[in-house]
Amino acid sequence: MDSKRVALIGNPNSGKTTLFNALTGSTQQTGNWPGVTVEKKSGRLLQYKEIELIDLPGTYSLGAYSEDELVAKRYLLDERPDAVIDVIDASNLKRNLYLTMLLLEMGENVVLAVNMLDAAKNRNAEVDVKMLSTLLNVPAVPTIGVRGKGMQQLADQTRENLDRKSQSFRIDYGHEIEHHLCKLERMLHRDNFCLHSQGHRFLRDQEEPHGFGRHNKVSDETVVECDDNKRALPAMPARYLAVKILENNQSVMHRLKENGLTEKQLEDIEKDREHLENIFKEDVESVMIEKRYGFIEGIVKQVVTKKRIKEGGINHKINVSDTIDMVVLNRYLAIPIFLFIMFLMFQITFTLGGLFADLFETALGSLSGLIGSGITHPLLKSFVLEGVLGGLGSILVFVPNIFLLFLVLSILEDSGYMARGAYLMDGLMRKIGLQGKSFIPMVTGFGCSVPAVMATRTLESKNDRMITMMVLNFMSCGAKLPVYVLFAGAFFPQNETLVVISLYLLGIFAAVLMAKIFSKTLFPGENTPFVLELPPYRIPTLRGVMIHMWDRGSEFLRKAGTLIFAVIILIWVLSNLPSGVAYASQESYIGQLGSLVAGIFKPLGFGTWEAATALIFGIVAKEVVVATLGTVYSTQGNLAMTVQQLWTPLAAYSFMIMTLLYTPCIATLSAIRRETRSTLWMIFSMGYSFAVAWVASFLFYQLGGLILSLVGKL
Amino acid sequence: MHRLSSANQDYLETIFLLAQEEESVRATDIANRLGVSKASVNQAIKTLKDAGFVINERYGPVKLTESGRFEARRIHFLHHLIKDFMISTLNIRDEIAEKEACQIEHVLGNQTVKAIVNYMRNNEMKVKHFDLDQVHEFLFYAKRLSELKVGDQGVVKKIEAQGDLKRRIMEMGVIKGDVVEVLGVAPMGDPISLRIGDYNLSLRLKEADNIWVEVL
Repeated sequence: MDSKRVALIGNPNSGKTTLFNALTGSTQQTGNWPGVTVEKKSGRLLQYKEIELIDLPGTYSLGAYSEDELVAKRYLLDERPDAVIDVIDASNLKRNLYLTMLLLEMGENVVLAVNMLDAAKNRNAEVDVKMLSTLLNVPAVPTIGVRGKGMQQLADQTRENLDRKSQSFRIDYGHEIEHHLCKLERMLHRDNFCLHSQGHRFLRDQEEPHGFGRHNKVSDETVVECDDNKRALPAMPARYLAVKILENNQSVMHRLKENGLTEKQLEDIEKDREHLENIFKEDVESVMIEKRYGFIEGIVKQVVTKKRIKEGGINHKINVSDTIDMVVLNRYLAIPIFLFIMFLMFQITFTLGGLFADLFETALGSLSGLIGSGITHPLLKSFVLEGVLGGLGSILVFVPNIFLLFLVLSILEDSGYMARGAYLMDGLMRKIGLQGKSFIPMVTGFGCSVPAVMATRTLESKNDRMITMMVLNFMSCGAKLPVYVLFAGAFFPQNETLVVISLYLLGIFAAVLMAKIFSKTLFPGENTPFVLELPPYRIPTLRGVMIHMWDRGSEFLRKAGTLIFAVIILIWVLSNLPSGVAYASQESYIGQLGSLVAGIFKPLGFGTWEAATALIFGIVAKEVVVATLGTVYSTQGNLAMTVQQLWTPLAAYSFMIMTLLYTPCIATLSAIRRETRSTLWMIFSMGYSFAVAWVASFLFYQLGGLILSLVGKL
Repeated sequence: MHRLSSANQDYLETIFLLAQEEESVRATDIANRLGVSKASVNQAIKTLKDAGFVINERYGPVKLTESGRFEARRIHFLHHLIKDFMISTLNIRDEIAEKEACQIEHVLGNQTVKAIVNYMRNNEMKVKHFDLDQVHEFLFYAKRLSELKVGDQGVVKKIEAQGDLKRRIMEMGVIKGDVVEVLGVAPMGDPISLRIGDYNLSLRLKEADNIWVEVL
């Protein structure tokens, strides 16, 4: 059977992801969008394998303010999926239906998933899904995503409606606008700027436009068949194009001009627009948005039955979410609570992670003992013990830490607190030339820079995006954690947490400083508007959080299994060549390579070939830093003791600063290149991060040495 | 908005002006100023009170409410606007302008007033005591959303932003006629959080400046 493509779209926080997970189960795949190489998720319906479901980024409209929304819009326009499942949050019907209106106007084959009916009920609102379906003339299915309710029905409805011809859907924009829309539609047909979506038949408008008041009532039913060869624009209903023309939509206007819109026609269109603006005393686009909301208002009135609504005001039943916000966003309590949550996040990651790590290490130790006694061949033994267990083992120890960090981040995100963080941090972020929304990628950066770079897609302004991407590397990611744990544990056992926190703070400080500098120099410009929804708090579901955590955490495991493993083998090989040298000695290739660049790090306190090698390979992936140290110091298990003997505490801290700030890993660099679509920015990011790191370590080591010697003299 | 008769508008304006001169305004003061009987004043006060523009205990002073002050300022502004317009543009003598402005001020609609304001602004003319850039306050009888306090509610009257920002705000569901409530202010005083319809939104004061609301 032919594979069919169905797009899943909806407002952010409409429960779209939960629905996607419930519909596709474990068949999901992540890939990239064609052209834009932004992460894409797709999967096959559990019920009907022939249907591929594509998860589009959450969006409020198709206005394409951010990269995310652009992806959704482009997909619909260019790929023309067989159907679109539009997820709408029943507890916030009005705003969610706005996107539905746009989809219907575009002539999409829409299936509505009316989600979160339980949440609506909690707000004392009953939603009549059947009525909604009738009024909009599209199938609508009630769902409760978190409990997997309605999935079968949604899958059934989607399959049944795959070949449904899109219905001509019209919002009545009122006499004045309809008159002009009608004129434009006629022009579009006449000049073959066509315009028919799969089998969609267009009606020639009657000469007298005044009878056009109510939608769908067109008297003269002459069908205009478009000449496909002459079709200049992708299959779009004429009505949609006419609406976009009046709204002065730049991309539609551009396409029309490219396809032979004459000067005269353009002039006429502008006159039309001017005429309408004179009538409404407002730009046409705003009028259209208002009319759409007016239309929605009418639907909501018929579909929703609310109990207890205060006359003319807002439903005054204070809901749980607002009660939480009264505390969490309280002017005085907000910041302490915020700091506490951040503290808790790291506490869980380190303390709880540490417990797991200890278990893991014990297991690894006994494993290496077991293998060591089992293998007799010296080269193989060296490979397994020093190469695989020494290298891989030293980073796998941190799997629990990283998973826990992602777990906490997922909880923060799914619960709705992350948006509050953006709200609380906006004031601060603005001071450094960014805005509150940049906070989300930055916190994500504590986990891993790669998803963080991708998370910048939600930022509307290019400047904000660039600055955020350029400083993200300084937010200490999970892969840098092993270095801190190793060195802080070895040199500052009493103050381990404090030392680690100090590094995180230093990273934040570096990010803030550089953001400030960038916003003044490379990316100057106005502060961008900040319009952010504060979604209602939701208790994250175990399943949702687990999927979220696994999605990101498994990336680490995958990396450990492939890239990092390969590098470890490479290091092991380089450590054994040229043949005859002592394993990982200075005479080996790896030792020579390290010695070559070690000089650069001399003023920073760690001008040894071992450290230099670790940093070089660390660019492949930051986890490799510790793994390399594990290999070159050829320890099995207790790397901490070795470094304790060979390093000074000052050098150790300086090395941690270097690791924190220097050149991003290859995965991050390639993400930056993809997102900025520029190799130049990637190279810039490599170079300047290294410079910042070097200067920071240098200042720390030299000043630290000076102070220590002064203290020593006293 | 409650529409008042021209006579009552005059009373309101007089109370407003008297309140600027004296601590408390009494019915006698108003009667003296306008040269009318105390009975007519009491009658007018009752109407104004019913419309929610003044507070007046029996035998006590007359106080303007928030909305009363707004309405009075609006009328007062119109008076000066028209008078100064007549004098500066039409070269009409002061006394005549003063007298006729008193009558015209009650009948002009928003559109005409706006046109006059625009004309005067474009020609860099001034109106005594008023800043023409802040005229929205009087014309729409509204406040900027950024001026609302936590807990205040208002009906959206106008979104002044341009281009993308305006579209963004509107597409997010902030539409004329909707009720918004200010839920809170971030620790640094900015942004603010709002409830609009069924959901919560946060905006910076700068964005909220562009949204005019009629306070409920």
